[in-house]
Amino acid sequence: MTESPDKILLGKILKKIEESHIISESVLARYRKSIQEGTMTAEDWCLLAEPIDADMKEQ
Amino acid sequence: MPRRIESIIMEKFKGATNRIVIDFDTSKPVVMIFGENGTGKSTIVDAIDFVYNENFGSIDQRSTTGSKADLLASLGSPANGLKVISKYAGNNWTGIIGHGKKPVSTGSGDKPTVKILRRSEILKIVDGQPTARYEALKSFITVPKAENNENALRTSVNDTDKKYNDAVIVYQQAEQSLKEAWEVEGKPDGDYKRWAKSKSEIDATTLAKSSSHLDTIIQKMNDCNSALKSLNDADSTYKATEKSYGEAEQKYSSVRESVKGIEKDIIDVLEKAKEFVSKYSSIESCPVCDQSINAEKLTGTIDKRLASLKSLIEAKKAYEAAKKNLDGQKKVLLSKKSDWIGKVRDLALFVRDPSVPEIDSLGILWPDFTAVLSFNKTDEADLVTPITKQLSEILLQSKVSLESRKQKEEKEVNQLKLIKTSYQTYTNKTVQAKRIEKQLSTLKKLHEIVEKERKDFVENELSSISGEVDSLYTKIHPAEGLGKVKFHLNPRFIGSLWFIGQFQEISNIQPQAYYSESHLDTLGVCVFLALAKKYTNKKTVVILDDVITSIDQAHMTRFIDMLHDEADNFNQLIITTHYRPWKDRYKYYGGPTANVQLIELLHWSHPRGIRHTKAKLSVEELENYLHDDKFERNIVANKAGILLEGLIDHIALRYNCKLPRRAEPNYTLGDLLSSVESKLKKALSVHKRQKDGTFIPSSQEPILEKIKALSWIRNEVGCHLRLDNNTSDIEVKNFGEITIILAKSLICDECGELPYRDKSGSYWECRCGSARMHPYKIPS
Repeated sequence: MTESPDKILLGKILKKIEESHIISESVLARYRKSIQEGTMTAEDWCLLAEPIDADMKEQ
Repeated sequence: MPRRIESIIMEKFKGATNRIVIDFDTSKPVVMIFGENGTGKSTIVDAIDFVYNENFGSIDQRSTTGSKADLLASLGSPANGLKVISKYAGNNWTGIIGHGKKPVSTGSGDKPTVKILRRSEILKIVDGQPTARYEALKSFITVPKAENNENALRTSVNDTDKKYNDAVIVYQQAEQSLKEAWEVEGKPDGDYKRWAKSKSEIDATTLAKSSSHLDTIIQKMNDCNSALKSLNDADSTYKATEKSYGEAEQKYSSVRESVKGIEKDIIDVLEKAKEFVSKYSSIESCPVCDQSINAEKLTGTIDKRLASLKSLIEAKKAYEAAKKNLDGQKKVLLSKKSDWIGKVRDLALFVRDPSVPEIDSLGILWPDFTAVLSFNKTDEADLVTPITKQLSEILLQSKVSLESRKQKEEKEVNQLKLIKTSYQTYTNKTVQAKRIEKQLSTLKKLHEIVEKERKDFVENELSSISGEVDSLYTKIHPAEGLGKVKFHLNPRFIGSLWFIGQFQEISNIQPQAYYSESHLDTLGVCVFLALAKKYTNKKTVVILDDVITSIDQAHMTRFIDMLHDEADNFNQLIITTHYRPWKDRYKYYGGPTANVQLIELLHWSHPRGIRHTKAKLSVEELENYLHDDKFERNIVANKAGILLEGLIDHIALRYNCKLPRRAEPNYTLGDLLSSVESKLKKALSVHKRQKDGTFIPSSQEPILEKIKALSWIRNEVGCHLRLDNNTSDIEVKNFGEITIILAKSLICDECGELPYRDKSGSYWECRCGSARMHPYKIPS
């Protein structure tokens, strides 16, 4: 039985985000389930993308 | 055994005004439901859609008013009375109209995945607008969860972008304020940021305190002025009262002088006597002289005497009132004076310590004013008034300079506050903007990933079916220069599906502009099957609802061939059609009849509803007539003739037999039989596979010879009125039986199909390869 297109695509998206290292693993882990379930809200994405202090210090 | 829909029962569902049960033969992968228009084909498909997909079926695609549930119910029946029961893999599923007039289905076990292609959807796929095409194929290519994430991410990017711009605007405004303030100050420190930083670090508390102290002094000075004004007002009032008093006193004195004797001094005695007599009205003697009196008479006498003294009494009253008023005003004046002295004292004490430069510069000799500074007794006010006035005038000399300094300090405090606020806003918002900028950059990168992955994914899905579509389409339209269909999303529009194809030698054309209707029909079916195949599972049932309107014989053969090839990819393929040539292809063995269940729908009427019957294959039908006790000879001759035409036509087509040239190729049985020349007849042999895998040949020549000898019966008995006809029933029966022998000899015992494929290049074979017709070509 073929996996649903959604499941396949969301898996690919998560993998790409991981590989990009845009988001730290620990932060991404918190939102992994919501991404897989397609229940991310605009606020969730904002929190996910919130820079950590180390990022700001680098700047 | 693959899991298939076993039956469907409809009660008061659309055209099923009476309960109808349709059993599907689960040993056959293909079900064909044939019926003229209006016999109930779509009702059956909608019932399957209703019970397994819980939707309104074809009604969903139509513009309606009112409840769709009501339209699902048979005419004159309520929506809550309809019911559809279907059995799948041994379990029953029941569909009804539930809460909110929505379809609800309950049952046990797995539900099949039912994918339905209706003609209206074909039109959307091949002929519609890109958005309609996307809608028609959405169930295959949409990724709602991923799209939900992407939409939320897009909103997040937009919101954050706005937040960033807002932060930038605020810090730019703060920066501008600082620059302006710096320029007003004459651009000190060479740099506005450095200047603003140092200014914002200044503690303005002392300055604010000083300003507040000055404010209190000025307020106290104002209080002194107010108190002095009140004092002056009270003094004026007192002087006016004093004047009135003098006048009243003078008038009283003058009236008194005019009264003779003791009368001027007796008023009080008379008034007291009157009061006494009123109080003791029963008195009989004078309490002073003890002489007898009449109280009433005495009162009358006193009134008369007082009346004669009226002007003196009034002057006396006016004088007494003026005196009382003067006493009151004197007290007020004293109080105001005391209040003013108190205010001046307070001001003096306030400015003496701590010292204030503006006051110090006045050189006040404080000991000279000790009486003011220590003032606390109102009765000493008159005494202290002169030096109070002197001190007050000295102190108030400094008011203008104090006010000027206070204004300056206040301005400075406000400026420091403004710079501090602006600098803090500038620094805070700069940090915030940097943070949001970083966040925005991350969100944009994420959006880029999510959007690209989604587009790539859908493009890949479409690209992957493009190959499959092309493969299916080429099976139906080989060497026609058609196909090469490719789907792609339009990046500028969401939910817009575009496609291009090939026409003759030209690539990248829009098929809907160049392809014929039947070409577009088959293209739509191929697209649907390719997608259904891609996402098929162990439960997939595919339904094609009246998808073909017209198609020529050659394409029909290839279309049926393609469908049967693809049917193996699904658990069940249910086809409905009103296109009789398609059904007749099966009836006359132009397809693998062993794999197909034929159901024929009868004429519909409201009282009887949908009715159906098993459609018989032509051999089965002829056999029934042959064995019928009534033996309808003309029907047997007719049916045998038609079957023979079909069988010999099949042979003639395979071997390119020579037939008379006619404007319309409606060949007679005689034409067809004559076209099978003797060389072919001699060589014609059908080899059938045995259980051990060997093939046993069977020559067709003797059968064809017998048929030729009896073929006249078709016309004589089966077609025309011949009153002198003397043909016996035995001869008719023989004609029918030899026809059945030929049919059974040619048709594959396994798949029920006539040999038609030329894959080997040395014989013709049926789909399953169990029946081979030799030779491949007419021997030379």
